[in-house]
Amino acid sequence: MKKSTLLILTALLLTIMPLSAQQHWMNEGGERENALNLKPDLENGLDVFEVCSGCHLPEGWGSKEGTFPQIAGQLAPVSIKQLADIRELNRDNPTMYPFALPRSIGGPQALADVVAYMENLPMNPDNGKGEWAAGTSEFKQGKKLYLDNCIQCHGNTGEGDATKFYPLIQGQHYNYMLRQFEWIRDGKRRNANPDMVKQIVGFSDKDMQMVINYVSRIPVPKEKLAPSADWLNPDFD
Amino acid sequence: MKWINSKMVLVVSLATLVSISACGGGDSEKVKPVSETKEAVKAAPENIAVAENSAGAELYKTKTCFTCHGMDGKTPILPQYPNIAGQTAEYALQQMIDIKAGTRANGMTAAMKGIMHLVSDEEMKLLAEYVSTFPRREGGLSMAEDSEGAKLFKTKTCFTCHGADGKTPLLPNYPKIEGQSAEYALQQMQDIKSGVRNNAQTAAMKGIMHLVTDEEIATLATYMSTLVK
Repeated sequence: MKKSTLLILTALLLTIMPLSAQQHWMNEGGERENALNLKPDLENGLDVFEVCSGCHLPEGWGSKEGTFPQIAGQLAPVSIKQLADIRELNRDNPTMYPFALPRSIGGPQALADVVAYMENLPMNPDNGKGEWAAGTSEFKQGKKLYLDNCIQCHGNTGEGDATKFYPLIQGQHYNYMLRQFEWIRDGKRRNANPDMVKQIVGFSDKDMQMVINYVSRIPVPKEKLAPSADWLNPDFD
Repeated sequence: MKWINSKMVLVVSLATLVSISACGGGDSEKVKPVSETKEAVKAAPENIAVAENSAGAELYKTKTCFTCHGMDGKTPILPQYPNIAGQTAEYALQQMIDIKAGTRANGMTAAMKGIMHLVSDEEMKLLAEYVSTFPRREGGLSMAEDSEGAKLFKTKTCFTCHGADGKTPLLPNYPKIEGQSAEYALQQMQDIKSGVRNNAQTAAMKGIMHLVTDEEIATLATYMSTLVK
């Protein structure tokens, strides 16, 4: 290869590299922090939530097959972080992106309002689950993986940690979680927590399926659940 | 390529059409015979909806846009070609750019790509603006309708991006789809689902297309083409 060609190629690479996807857990300050400190208005939260309900449904339950996650019951700071990340293009989600924009749902106050509304929604008692029921060896292995790798941040029952932006994962749909887990492991989910990326780097595809299968089957405390899977959000009457 | 005049372009476009009709594989039965195509071209100038002496209007004729899309932008010579009348300028411009560059290469775009080297970036902008001023077909979609199509339009979340009436897209670079040619709409949904069409904003739609079966795509295409006035 000619020296000049090599130089040009190097220059080209250097130009392209900063544009390639970067891993970035969180920005300091910004609207995420603004929204966290605002007092939520649940009534306005409902108004804003109408936009979300187009895909996540009026109940906030998403789709059982996992295209749309359950957002009902999610910890408010977690939802604020994800919304802020999506609209700052720190998390790639081309389907959701325009809905997350201020022009669709408003500024930091609207974020605070809508996430508070979502957090108060009762969760789906019939979330999408993995194929391995309790008692199977895959279930047991998944549980072991969970206890060894996940409880420190996501808690014993997948309840998450609001103060650290660690999501509630109990009751989430299997396919959605599996997809996110894979993207976090493989670097596609750019706003992943770097500690988690390190923690799961050695997970095989089967490990991943087993641990998510277990999480999808962690019972959600009754007080967080809707009375039945047929429950309809009365705010949308 | 400047020596090519507009008449020759017409011939070239028609020749492209003929070749597409000839090798269209399983879809070839849907392509209209060339004799009908010629008639449509002849008839087009009488169907002027937008009489305007603008640079855009001039380009719409000289760049031969009207030969395929109709003078009014909504009488395409083949049902597989889109209605473009009153489309958002942002969306129209992006498609021209992508078809010219080859980043959009699905369906019948080869027919248009063949002439796009004649259209500069500035001209594409003028054309997009011009086409966006055309009156659209009357009416819109209605989700209140008790039809399978209306139900799918809601449950498959189409309305969230394209608007409940199909003509108030969430972003200006998302298309209006109400009153679109059913054949064209069908092809686009299939191609975005399969990834054959992957330009511009299509990633947003691809993310949900696994939820829509081929039969549902067909139902939706018909639903979108029929307007409530």
